Amino acid sequence: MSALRAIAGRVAWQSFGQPGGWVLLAGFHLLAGVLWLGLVDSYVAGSSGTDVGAYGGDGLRVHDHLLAPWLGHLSVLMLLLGPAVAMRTLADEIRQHTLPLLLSAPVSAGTIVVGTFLGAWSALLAALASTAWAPLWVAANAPVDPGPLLTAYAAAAAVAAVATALGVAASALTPHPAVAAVLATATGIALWTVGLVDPDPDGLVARVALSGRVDALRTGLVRPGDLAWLLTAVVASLAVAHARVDAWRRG
Amino acid sequence: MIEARGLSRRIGSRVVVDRLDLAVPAGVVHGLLGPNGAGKTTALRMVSGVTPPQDGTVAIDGHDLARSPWPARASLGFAPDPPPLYDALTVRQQLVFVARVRALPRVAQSVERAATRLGLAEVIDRPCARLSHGWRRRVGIACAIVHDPPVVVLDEPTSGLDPAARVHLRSVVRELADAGRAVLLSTHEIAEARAMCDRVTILRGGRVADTLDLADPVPAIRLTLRRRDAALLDALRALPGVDGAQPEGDDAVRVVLAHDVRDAIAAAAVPWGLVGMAPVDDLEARVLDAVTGAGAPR
Repeated sequence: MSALRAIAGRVAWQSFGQPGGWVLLAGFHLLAGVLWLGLVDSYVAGSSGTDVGAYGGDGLRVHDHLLAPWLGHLSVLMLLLGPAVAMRTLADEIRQHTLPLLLSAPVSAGTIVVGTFLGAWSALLAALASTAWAPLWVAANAPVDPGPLLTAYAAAAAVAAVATALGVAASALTPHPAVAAVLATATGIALWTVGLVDPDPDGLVARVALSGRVDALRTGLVRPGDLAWLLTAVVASLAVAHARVDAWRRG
Repeated sequence: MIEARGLSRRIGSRVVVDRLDLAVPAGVVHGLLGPNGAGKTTALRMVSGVTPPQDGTVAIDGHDLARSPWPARASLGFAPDPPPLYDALTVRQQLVFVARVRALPRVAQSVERAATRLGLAEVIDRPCARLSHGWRRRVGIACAIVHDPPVVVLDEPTSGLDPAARVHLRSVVRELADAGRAVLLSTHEIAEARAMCDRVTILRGGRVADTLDLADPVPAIRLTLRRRDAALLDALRALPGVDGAQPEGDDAVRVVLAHDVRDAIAAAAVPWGLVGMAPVDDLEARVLDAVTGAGAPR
């Protein structure tokens, strides 16, 4: 556990411990802010046609018409931010020649991969947590149901986990961070949008779409099948990274 | 402390290391010497568990690296070339990271001890990215000894260093051995091997070309005489403990010793007017013989 914590801590610290990480975080907040303002405008415009106030009442619920869509957008941003944070993880171990430090220590390939994933994911979770100002601001002006809010955040965190795992896997497959980022982002977006090709929401293609797997969670509905799918996606990605690190160890 | 038997590794059809045997006991600095591409680094990586051998076994402090990898790796510190440093971390953070990865119980103490031994106080809070080559080497070695292992493996520890840094690192290597550790290092510089090692294995094309015990007081001596003839050479060659005697120049004989029998040699040479007797450092000649193939691989 000590090695796992050490590796995760180093990756998390390095994710936002250098200028590039802060640029990513600033870009994330800029986009989140722009999306937020757009949704608030839409919400206010929609509310003006009802008999209730802007942030409450039975007309337009803030969760359904403001927070849930915004957190949905944040999930999509996670698909971009996850690979951007994770692209350097294992690739940097190769580039900086630090892998022998870990391979000569009593540390398994699984510990290296899971520690790296947890470190990068925790950096994304911190970025996600830093958006809490929005629901807090809404809660100060209107009643907010914490249950759906938390599951919507959980949905974004789950997307972040998948995106990070894809980034770690891509980072293990190529020593070039930019290539890893493109590979992981393309895979993530493909997983997100694959449902669009199937108009049947219960069809096979729609069921493998990442977006479909977090829609219910975002509205407060926790389905074991969705959780199993998300977990499988993370484990499968990390298995690819593990196989690669193990191959490095075996030479 | 280090027992390697029949280590072999191929890359494609090329044999990088071929049936390498090594035994490095505690308190000994053992060098792998050879030109670039001789297989030194691959041998060290196999001994350190970074690259598994395709054939052969490695035991570290009595633990088989393949069958008991965790205790074997816990007993080992490896300083590869280039040093494995995370550029974004400071030297202290780097050492703390290594200590935590190795689950050391007293991290701060271990870091302090390693930093002190390598003289890192000046750079301890400097980011690794801003370290000079020499400091990076030192920090790399500090990472290898932060857990105070009984076995230390160093890949080219003094390569590219200025004279002062070389002298310091040589003394660090010597201190590690004097404290009872088995030290295995690689170098392609004969002077470095001479300065640091008790024993040297010369590699050529991945095979052991020669093994020299540098701790032997005098592997060869040069006799200077008033006169020299074939009878003198015969008399010297007949002495027990003498491996060979070859004329050098007009008035000298080079005697290769199997044992330290200098007294007997002096007594035998007196009738020919012995003027002087001095040790010969034949490491360079033997290394050249070995790497050029003049000597048969052993």
